Amino acid sequence: MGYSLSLLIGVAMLAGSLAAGLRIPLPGRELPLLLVPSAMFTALTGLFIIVGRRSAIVQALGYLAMENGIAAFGLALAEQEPLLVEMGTLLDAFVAVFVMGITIFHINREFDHIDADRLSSLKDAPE
Amino acid sequence: MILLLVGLPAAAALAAFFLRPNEPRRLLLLGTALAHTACVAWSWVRPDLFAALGDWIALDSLGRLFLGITSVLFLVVSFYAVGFLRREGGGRSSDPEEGFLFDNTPEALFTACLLGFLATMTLVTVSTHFGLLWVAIEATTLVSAPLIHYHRHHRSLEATWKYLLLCSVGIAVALLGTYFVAAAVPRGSGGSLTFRALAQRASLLDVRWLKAGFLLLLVGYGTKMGLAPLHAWLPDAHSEAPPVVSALLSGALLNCAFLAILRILSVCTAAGLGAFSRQTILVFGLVSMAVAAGLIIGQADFKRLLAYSSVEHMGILAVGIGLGGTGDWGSLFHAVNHSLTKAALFLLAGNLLAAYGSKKTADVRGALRRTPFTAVLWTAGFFAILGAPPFGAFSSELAILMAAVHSGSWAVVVLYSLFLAAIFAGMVGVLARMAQGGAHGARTAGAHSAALVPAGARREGALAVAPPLVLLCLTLALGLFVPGFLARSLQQAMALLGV
Repeated sequence: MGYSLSLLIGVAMLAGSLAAGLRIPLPGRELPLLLVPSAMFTALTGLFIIVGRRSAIVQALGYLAMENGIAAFGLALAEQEPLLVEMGTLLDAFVAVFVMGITIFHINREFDHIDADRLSSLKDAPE
Repeated sequence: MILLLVGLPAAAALAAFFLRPNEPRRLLLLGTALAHTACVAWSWVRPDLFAALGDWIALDSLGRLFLGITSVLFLVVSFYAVGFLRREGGGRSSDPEEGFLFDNTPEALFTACLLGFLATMTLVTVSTHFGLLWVAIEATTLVSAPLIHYHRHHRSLEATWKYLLLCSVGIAVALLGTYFVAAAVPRGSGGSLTFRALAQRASLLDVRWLKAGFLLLLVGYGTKMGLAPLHAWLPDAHSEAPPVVSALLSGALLNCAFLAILRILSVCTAAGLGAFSRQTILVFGLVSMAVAAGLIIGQADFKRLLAYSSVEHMGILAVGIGLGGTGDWGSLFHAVNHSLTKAALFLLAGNLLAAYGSKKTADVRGALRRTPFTAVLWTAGFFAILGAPPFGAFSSELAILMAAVHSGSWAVVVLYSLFLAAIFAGMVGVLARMAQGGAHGARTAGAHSAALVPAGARREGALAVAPPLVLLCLTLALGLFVPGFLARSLQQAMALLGV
């Protein structure tokens, strides 16, 4: 997907998350005004990067951005989450990126490229 | 005591990683599996000894049922794993399909991940807090990714990457769902995210947030469970992983994700969203069965065939839960039957792959002459998974059909039977050709694989045949009668789901 198209889609997502995020009712919670829209936008950006980019390492970055956005949501929504569980969540995201990094290392060594689009040998062949 | 269930395999995983010689490490795997099963059996006999640990870790009847399945499966599979590692462990081997050489993952790392997989799946079954449940399920993904990449070549690498990325993104969606459920708890009511606290305060929950949270959790954990539009990773991972890992993925891991969906369902039911959530699950189930039926007919690769059959059976579980009532019973019982049978089939598929050097159904001909024990068990396993009468899956699939008839929604009855019939026809056709087949086909296949597969690998060892035999005997026994302790446990688990 081209860069100018990606930027346009990004702007559209920003407008969309501002419009939607400001309307979400959160009764009884005192929050900064822009917390929910920015969390939403970050998560959407991550998802867009995972879907729209080919390189495996950029997809891993997209996963990180998405996880960041969701964690920001968690800041807004889940104040009753115990610290230990929160730490577990962060540890998992950390290890996920670690494991993805190792896998990308293997992909690079095996194929001499990290283009996830070209990982397409597995499919349902007709009999 | 309850910490022992998780701690034992985790400690063993650490030890296995640092243990140098191979044979002691294999014995450690067997010993840990035995000790774990013994602990789980003890928890079925004396639940009072396994008291809750704080708010987050406890063993209720639903968790105990799935823990039982996981533990028994792991024990049987670990015997096969010892045989498998003796046969193919370590070093270089040649790819049976394309003929290139590749390395295997070091056996120490493989065993450590296998034991870590058991530890994380146990943690899924004993966690009673949505946050901890998420942590445990994400951990199962991370620990199992190296297992799929056991044979280090380009196909397994592709499967691993798809598995890692799709499941991680799916589970990230589930994390968002978890936060939505947290947002449904009114502020200042002091509620935490444990299943019990949520169910007790169900009337206070904000229904809109809960509904959105349920949908996100269903999509997220549904990806991991392999429900249909989200199943893209499943056939690749199951077909490229070594047989031991395929068996565990299909028999134990998918169930763990199913358990997570049951957990949120019970909260939704308590909050009065039961009908809505069950209907959504029902639609996912029917779509899964339809997609699986379409891909099973004319499938050329027998490991992918089994993987799509797993998608079908996850669909059946979802249909049963969607219908409720007898369907709940059928669904939980079917989870037991499916795990035992599908694990056996994946292990046997490993034997066939070793004997023929091909995953193509067209290359496997005359298996009854070449690998008689495997072929006989393979035939029995196919009928068991298709729900033929003497096996356990028959009674559970029938219970789900009865639930559909009682619910009066004839569309569900017709679609459910139609998909089952189509899959039956598709799989029996494949089976007949694989088991019988012409002598000519057998000869060419023999010439093909004799060049690539070392001679010792073709014999059917006791450790390759006995584990699937045990699993199939168990599911046969469940078809003939359901023992009292299991029936009681199914009833208690049903009660937890609510009506």
